[in-house]
Amino acid sequence: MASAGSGDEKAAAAAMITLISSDNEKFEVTEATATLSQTIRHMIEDGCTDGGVPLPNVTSKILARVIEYCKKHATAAAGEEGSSSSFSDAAFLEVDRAFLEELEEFDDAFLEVDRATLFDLILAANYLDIKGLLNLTCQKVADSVKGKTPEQIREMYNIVNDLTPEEEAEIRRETQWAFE
Amino acid sequence: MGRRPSPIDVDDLLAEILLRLPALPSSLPRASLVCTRWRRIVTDPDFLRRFRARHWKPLGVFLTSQLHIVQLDFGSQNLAVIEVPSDVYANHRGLCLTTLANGGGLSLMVMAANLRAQLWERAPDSDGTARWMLGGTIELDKLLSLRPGFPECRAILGVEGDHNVMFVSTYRGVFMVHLESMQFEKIFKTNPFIDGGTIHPFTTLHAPGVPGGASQRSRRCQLSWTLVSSP
Repeated sequence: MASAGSGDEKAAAAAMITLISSDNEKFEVTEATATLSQTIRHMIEDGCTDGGVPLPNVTSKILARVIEYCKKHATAAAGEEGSSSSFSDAAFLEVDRAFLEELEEFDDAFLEVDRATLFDLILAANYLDIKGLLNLTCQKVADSVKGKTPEQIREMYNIVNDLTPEEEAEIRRETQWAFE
Repeated sequence: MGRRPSPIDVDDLLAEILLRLPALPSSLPRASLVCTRWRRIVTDPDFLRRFRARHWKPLGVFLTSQLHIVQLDFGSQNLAVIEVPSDVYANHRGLCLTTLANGGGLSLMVMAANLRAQLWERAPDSDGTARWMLGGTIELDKLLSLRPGFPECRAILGVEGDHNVMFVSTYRGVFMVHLESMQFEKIFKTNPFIDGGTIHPFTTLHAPGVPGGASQRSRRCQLSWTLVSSP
């Protein structure tokens, strides 16, 4: 199915954007990949991407990971729009399902990173406005908090407890029902 | 820049993270016990509204089929038949009434043949005659990655105004779309609505006993948290 590229796909592939990391490394990506970032999409629409897009908040290490994510998910979007005429409905659904499973596996593997990298990915996803990546990475942090006691959460993220014992007792009293 | 900032230290990003906690009764009370900043974020009314919207799920659906808009005026006991907008009548794939109109008047959501969902609102024009006006369009094909040309079974099944969600039947399953955030989730992997029908979500709100002496605020929190915890 990959070989059945349409003229539009080729045209999109031809438009390349250069992204420049904070440590001055240059990355050439297709417009389809780059526009998963709403921030870059707007820059392209405003015609200010000639000479490259400087991203002073994103290191080359993180930018490489972000581009890896965008490439995979841009392929997903392109596949969704691909020609369907050669497939029966059933075959079509089968391809669709296999593809979505592959994408899920990619996302799971993508999240196998240390905490510092995960945090940097969140900051980059937020800065570049990549909704899918922000959702994926924030969910990973939420999952790490899930089911933990307040003490465990504080310890995990080095948070100082600035609640007075009275305030703490009040919250516990008010939310007692939730722990029963 | 010095020390690397942590998203946990940025209020907006911490809120994004805590929004994704599971809808368990203990999730937000636990978070509120971490420190004053976390407590401020998870008790913020805007955060709670987003948390509810994100986690709200219908407990089930009823199916009916609907062909006409019939208005029954309880006051006058009159029945009136309202025509749907002529623009959408010819080729639509599913139409349902909503309470989404700005003024709270009659409105309907319709799936046009090009996979765009259109919100039509009925409002009086300058002569005072009620007319249909196009209130907005949602590009469902792009949002839900629907392939153009794929045959049939794409329709709007229902709209739930209180929670601002819409149900869409597609060949990829049945989706619930949050109209405010445009986030969506698949509620049926297969499609039980291929032959048409309407979805009527229902939910319940059972408040736990309010312990004596609890403040007004905590009572409100109990209600909101119980609502999101209804599976």
